[in-house]
Amino acid sequence: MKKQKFNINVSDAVILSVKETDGGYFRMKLAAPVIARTAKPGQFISLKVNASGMPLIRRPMGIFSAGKGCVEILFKAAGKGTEILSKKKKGEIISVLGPLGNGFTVREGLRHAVLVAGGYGVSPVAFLYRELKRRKINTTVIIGAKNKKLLYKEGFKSPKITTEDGSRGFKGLVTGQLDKACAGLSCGTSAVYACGPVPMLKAVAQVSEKHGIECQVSMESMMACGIGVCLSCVCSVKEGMGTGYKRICADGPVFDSREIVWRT
Amino acid sequence: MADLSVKIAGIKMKNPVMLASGTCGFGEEFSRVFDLNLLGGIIVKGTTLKPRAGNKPPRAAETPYGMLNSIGLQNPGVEAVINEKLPFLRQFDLPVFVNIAGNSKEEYAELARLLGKAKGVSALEVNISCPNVKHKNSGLFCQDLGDVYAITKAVKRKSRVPVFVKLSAEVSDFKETARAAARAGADGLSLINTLRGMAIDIKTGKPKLANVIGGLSGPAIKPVGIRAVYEAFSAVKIPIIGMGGIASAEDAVEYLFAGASAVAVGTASFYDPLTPFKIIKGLNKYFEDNSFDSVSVIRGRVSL
Ligand SMILES: Cc1cc2nc3c(=O)[nH]c(=O)nc-3n(C[C@H](O)[C@H](O)[C@H](O)COP(=O)(O)OP(=O)(O)OC[C@H]3O[C@@H](n4cnc5c(N)ncnc54)[C@H](O)[C@@H]3O)c2cc1C
Ligand SMILES: Cc1cc2nc3c(=O)[nH]c(=O)nc-3n(C[C@H](O)[C@H](O)[C@H](O)COP(=O)(O)O)c2cc1C
Ligand code: FES
Repeated sequence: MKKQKFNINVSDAVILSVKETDGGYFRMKLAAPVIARTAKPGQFISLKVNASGMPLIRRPMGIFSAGKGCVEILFKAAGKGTEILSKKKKGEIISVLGPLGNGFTVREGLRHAVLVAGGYGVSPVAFLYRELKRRKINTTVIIGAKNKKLLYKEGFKSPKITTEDGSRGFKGLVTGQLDKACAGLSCGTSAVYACGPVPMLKAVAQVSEKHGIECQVSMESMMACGIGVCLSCVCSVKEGMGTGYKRICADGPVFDSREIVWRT
Repeated sequence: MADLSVKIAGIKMKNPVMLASGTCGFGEEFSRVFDLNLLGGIIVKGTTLKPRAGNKPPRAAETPYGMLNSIGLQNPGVEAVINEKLPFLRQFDLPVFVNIAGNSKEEYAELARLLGKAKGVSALEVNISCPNVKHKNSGLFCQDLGDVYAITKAVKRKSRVPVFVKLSAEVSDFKETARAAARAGADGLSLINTLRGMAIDIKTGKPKLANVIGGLSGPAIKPVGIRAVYEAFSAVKIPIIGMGGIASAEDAVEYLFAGASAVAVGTASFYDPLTPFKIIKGLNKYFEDNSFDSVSVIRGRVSL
């Protein structure tokens, strides 16, 4: 039999720190050497926030950074699971599954990237941003938020900020800035990378496609298993002449926007 | 190490711990997490004659100590299962049960014929209890004793491998249902499938599942599974694979006491993929600590 390759790891990780940061987000650092070694921007991990009892199902989290034996996540206390997560203390143990999914693809010959982040989508985008900088690829970052109180922009050099209420940066949605950013780019050597709420992704895809620029979107859904066995996390994709379903956790979460059939 | 090996319907297994249908795909994903060779067996995703796209998302919702799903039997169809999925599983020293689902007894029979010819199938598990596909009267096949008998019989006639019939606990007389399957020649029973349930998002007033109703699984349903296995054990002689909410070795032992010969882990491996191994390890310890020398020592030995 073929040599087996165990490339999804499940382990108990020590929490190294939990910090409240900009925009009401929490940043958690975990000691997870196996995951840290191979994680790529756009991949995610899944956490069992309580060792036993409720919530039963793991919570998927984008990877904010990975390296030196550690993995970092960025999250909002938005509900039951993330509330518990935000109250964890340094030294506590948490079960981590990952790295999961396929990350963003950075093509050979890519010269200019436009990154678009909304909400906690800023987490995987920050990871990708650092990777693109390292590879010396020209990068424009656009971050959208409802208002300045919900904004996370740490670590980005002069990002273009948009807020829906105009309390910081440009007033409006990310698409206005994206349209401008795409205008001067040559389609063959540029790409748009986006993570955020689905309506934002759809709008970003439309703008990118209008400019003929490749667009990779990171999708999300309720996930029961996170590894591709339960088929609960599917999204509609174009398949031949019709449509089909793909698993966001295992076939994504990053998809070429032209593949997605957007639900209105 | 205790001897955990079991033989059910003539199939030898290293231990009684299997993966439940629909919760382990066709093994590929879990093979990236752990060594499938350590398992007692695997029951692969529900397979139909033609590929099925499955239901619209959202397809899952978390509930107290469980979850609802309405996957709708998404699968690549029997031909792809035989040509693309089974060869992968043949690399392992692992009994493979193929779960089948159809819309009529003819479809079940055809599936049994095709899979009977395929290499690497140890047994069939006949799903006549899926809450996520529509049948006549919108009920489950297993709610009609005539259907239970006819489908089991049709599959038995075509199958070259042992046939396990998978039932739901949502029937009016569980013992009669189990007897109908046994009379038709079933070599074993798989108990239980999910229970139909529903959840509503109170912010929007909409059902949490696009399909409205889905199947409840996980620890929440364990007592129902134990009851079903207990009743079936008293009604029929054929072996039973117990499932429903198994998350620990203690849960597995409870199913063995109720009358199961083997157990299958489903939902628990979503939130802890290593559950099957923790159970195998825990069973070893339990059998050693109690100096029980085989699984059959406790099977069905609940003392009343
Ligand atoms: C691939 C992926 C990456 C993610 N990355 C991040 C991240 O980096 N930071 C972050 O803050 N959040 C992230 N999320 C979302 C995060 O997992 C959910 O917000 C979180 O599970 C909500 O859990 P909760 O228990 O706090 O809320 P709940 O009280 O359970 O519910 C609040 C809301 O979250 C949704 N939700 C519940 N469970 C899940 C689940 N398992 N998957 C998706 N949505 C769910 C519910 O539908 C509900 O609308 C990601 C989700 C996915 C699918
Ligand atoms: C996501 C999901 C998909 C399932 N798909 C199938 C299926 O295709 N065929 C089948 O017979 N049972 C299916 N089941 C039922 C399980 O095999 C099992 O009977 C049930 O979930 C109870 O076990 P558990 O509580 O350990 O999950 C599915 C269950 C879940 C949660
Ligand atoms: S969450 Fe189970 S298949 Fe994606």
